[in-house]
Amino acid sequence: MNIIFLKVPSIFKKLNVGNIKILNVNQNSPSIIVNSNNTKSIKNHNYSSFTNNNNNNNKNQVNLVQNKSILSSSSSYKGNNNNNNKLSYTTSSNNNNNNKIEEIVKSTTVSPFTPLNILHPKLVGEKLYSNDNEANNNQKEFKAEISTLPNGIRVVSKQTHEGVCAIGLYINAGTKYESPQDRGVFNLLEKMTFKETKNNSTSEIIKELEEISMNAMASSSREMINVSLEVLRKDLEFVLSILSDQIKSPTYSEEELREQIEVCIRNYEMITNSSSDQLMTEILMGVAFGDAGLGNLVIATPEQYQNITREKLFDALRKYYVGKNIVISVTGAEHSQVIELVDKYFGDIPFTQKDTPSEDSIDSTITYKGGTDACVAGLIHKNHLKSQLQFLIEKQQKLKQQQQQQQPQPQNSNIDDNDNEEELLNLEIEQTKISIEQLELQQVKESSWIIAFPHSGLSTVAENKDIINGLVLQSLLGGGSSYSTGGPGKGMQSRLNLNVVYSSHRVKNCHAFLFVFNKVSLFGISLTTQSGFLQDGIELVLQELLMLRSSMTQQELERAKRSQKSQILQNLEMRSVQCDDMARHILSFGSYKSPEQICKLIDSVTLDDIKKLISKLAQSNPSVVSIVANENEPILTAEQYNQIVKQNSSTLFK
Amino acid sequence: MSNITKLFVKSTKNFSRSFSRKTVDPSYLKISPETKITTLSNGIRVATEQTYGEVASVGVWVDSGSVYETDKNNGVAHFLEHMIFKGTAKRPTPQSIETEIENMGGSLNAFTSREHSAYYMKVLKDNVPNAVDILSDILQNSKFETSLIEQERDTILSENDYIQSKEDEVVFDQLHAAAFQGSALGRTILGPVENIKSITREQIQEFINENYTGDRLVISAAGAVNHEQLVEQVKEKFANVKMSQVSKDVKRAAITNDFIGSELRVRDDEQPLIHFAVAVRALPWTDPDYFVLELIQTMIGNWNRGIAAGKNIASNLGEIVATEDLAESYSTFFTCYQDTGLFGNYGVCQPERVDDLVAEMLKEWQRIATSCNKNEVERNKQKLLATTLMQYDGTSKVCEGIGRQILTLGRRLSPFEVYTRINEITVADVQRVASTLLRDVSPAVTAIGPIANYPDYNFVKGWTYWNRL
Repeated sequence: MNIIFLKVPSIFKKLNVGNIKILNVNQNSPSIIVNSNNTKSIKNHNYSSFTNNNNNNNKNQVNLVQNKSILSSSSSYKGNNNNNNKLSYTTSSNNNNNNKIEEIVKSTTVSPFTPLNILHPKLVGEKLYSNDNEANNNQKEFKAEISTLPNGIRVVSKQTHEGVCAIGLYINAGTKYESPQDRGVFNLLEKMTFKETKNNSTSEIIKELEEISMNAMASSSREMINVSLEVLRKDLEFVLSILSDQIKSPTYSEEELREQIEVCIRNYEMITNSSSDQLMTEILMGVAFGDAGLGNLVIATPEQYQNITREKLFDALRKYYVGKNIVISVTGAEHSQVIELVDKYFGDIPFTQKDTPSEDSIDSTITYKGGTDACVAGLIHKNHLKSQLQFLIEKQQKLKQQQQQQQPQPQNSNIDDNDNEEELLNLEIEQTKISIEQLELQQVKESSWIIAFPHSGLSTVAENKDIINGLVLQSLLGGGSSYSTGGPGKGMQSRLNLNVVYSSHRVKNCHAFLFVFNKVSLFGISLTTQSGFLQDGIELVLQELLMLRSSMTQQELERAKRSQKSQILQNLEMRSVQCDDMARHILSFGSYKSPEQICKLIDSVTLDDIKKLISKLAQSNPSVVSIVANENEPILTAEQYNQIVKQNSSTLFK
Repeated sequence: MSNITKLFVKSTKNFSRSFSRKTVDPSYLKISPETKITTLSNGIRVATEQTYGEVASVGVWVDSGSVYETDKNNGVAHFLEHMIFKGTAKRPTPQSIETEIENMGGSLNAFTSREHSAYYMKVLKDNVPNAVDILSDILQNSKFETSLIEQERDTILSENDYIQSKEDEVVFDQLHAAAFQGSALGRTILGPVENIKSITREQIQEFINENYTGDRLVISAAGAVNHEQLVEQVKEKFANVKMSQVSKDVKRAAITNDFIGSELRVRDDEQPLIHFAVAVRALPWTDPDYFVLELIQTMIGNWNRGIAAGKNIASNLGEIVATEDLAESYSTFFTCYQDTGLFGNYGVCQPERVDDLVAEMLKEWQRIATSCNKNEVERNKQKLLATTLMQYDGTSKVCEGIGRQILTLGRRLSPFEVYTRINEITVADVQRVASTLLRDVSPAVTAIGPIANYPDYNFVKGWTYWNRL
């Protein structure tokens, strides 16, 4: 007897079927199964399939194919076996068996659900929106509400008309508080967020947050550590309990600590191994504020990270994560509910510690310096790699000396261990050498230059319009890139875009920026050009900056103001930005300026305000940073800029 | 001794879970504003969600994309989207449009996909009427000047170069070309280079006349916008838009998009990594099992080397990939069209790891189809609900969601209905849908890079089922 068995997957219930020959016409996987005379019953929900061309296979299997059309028609198939026997499809089952088969097929392929273009039947007649609140929610302006707990924690929240909360925890802690011995501790503290606590493992925490939250992140900067995430309203309490646990019960396991130190070191290498914007910013802050306070890099060096211990982390947590330093911000919840929950989970945190420094004492040490730092692309990273290579070579030599001392008394296990260590060390040395060589061969195609001036800090918003004027000036100058990925409304009409980016196809990118901190900000312009053309770009920027005061128009000012308002209002539509905005105001000046208030301030900005600001900024001592493709490329230094301004100040600023 | 103690402590910790949450009344999902829909006499649908605020998003969503093109004019839908910004009788130059919008402090964006095109603006509250005027003008009165068409060819060719330099874009274009070979969905959105160089003004005008008809337009708005006022403005400004003479359904019925199991390889040994996709036919927009397949997508998950979760990721496949270092990244995609869909995994990995990665992906498909458990299904239902509802952040996202849903479903899904549909999914439903779509199927496979080790198609197909006696 010639029997051909081909794979057919199937699912079926208890069923007795005899002498069924079925042809599967599924175009994706055509297959045939032919049953012998003997038939077995298969258990409930059992599944089986196999592929076998062995004519000697005596196993007997019964399978049911899902394709419904087979059961209501007959067809024939010409086999490929050597005898060219014709096989035909017939059924000898009774009608009851056919009906059962049809039921099974139907139940396995038809969805019990309703198509999405039809309202779900369970919801017909049901209220899908809270009509009672609808009018109020749509018409009522929800205002931010602020409360302070007895232990100094400030809570700010704002109700919304959606089912989602944004939650943020903000700590007055950052690199400006770091002493030389503590460099990197706050960055690492941030990296240890969402890690193991006494109550839960890292895996549990992350899996839970992954399930309920979106945009969960922790970040650290010069003045603040921030943890934020978004969840449905139902999970607000749960999130606050997790955040509380992070502050009150961390374990900072040695294993995870070492792991995160490696992450920080990789970040350091990533930033220094490029002409990235972030590298420019880091160098700029050092030039502007020296080697302490705000001048501390957000990233520390690998050696500094290696020196951080669990004890240092716990000490920083104890000193800085105290009530007076904490703001908790929530959107999408009732203020009374938020207060109750924050008190429940954070109420036992102390107001302060004896050795907690005050922000005022730190801010009073911040001094603007200014100056110039000129770099060659890749040089910082190259120097880092070279010092690392030196370290590895010294380590190798020490290892060899140890081996020589051990030679008179050979021990097999020690020799094996040393050989393995030496091998790894050799490999690392070779890799470092290759990295240095690759770095030297890299062809850098762009050069960058940045100039910045000191300006008022965020805390002045409560007193004057300095920051507002800065924001409007930033919009006025604007900027752009040589490859525009935007469209109308992306600052195409701004002055830097029209007069710098459009003026020279060598200019790759040019934009104005305002870096805002609590007591001070930096207003500046950054420029990237094709290498070899930086000086041309600088001339264009300088011309724009120094001629701006006399050439700008009221129309341009109105456009800039409107643009800035739109940008603020559009950003504040996003719940996480809203959450962040409320917290930063509280941390900086202790109260909240609503978007409406900010927009009124923007509307009140006059041409004269901007002219005064330009005069003040342009006559300040700037901070200048450049990263050039090759050493010989000329730039403009802070000193040179100051000379130009002095020579022309009578005509430019009267 | 210490190892045993350590194991015991760890086990104890795992059992003493302090995370416990009670079931919460889902009525909080009803506080969102209602979507109001009005259909005009020319078929245009106006849909709005009004909220308090100072900003509004207004958009025109068109049921028109590359699927409505032919080989001869492939790329015209995208080309015309570019030309819409080049000037009208009233606003004669691109600069006049730009300046007007920037003076308002607004922004204007557009996109074209395989099935839809959209033009949307974000403006301050007072400028909503201006936005409607601008959108109606550029869509009805664009001049399509020949000289500007010639200029725009270079821009679109540059955009094409950019897309060709993005491995994920290339892989997905190739995936469509393979999976829907010989069908409209297999064509790219930008069209071939020779078409970009030769598309004519007449082709653009003809395409817009045939496809930008009232019944295929949705004007959606969200934020500081009043429904009745917007309807009046649209009636006035879009009055000349005609109802189509051939309905969309008739047009689409004449366009077939059959999924074909197939493979497309592009070997390039100079690239360091392999980029690939494995996909099966999926579900159309309105399919009753849409949310079940979304849930399966959530269960398979996404992972990349940079995310902080690392080895702690909840997805079973993600955990394997992270622990065994199989990939630089992988993602799970589910793309809907009107009459079909694509579901699968996209991966980026080292050449020597690709066979393990593909095998683990398809193994996960089989695991879900045969033996996923209630715990993971319930956990991922929570996750799917959270991500589905939390994506509407800001008026732009809401406006886009409204436009897309009205075009594809003919209605708006309220948050409470989304919850209801996700909540009713059971383990049996997940296994049923996964078994139907992911088991014993002929996938479409595309790969680019140093693919000498990429598994043979027969292996890939073989991994879509398990042999068990």
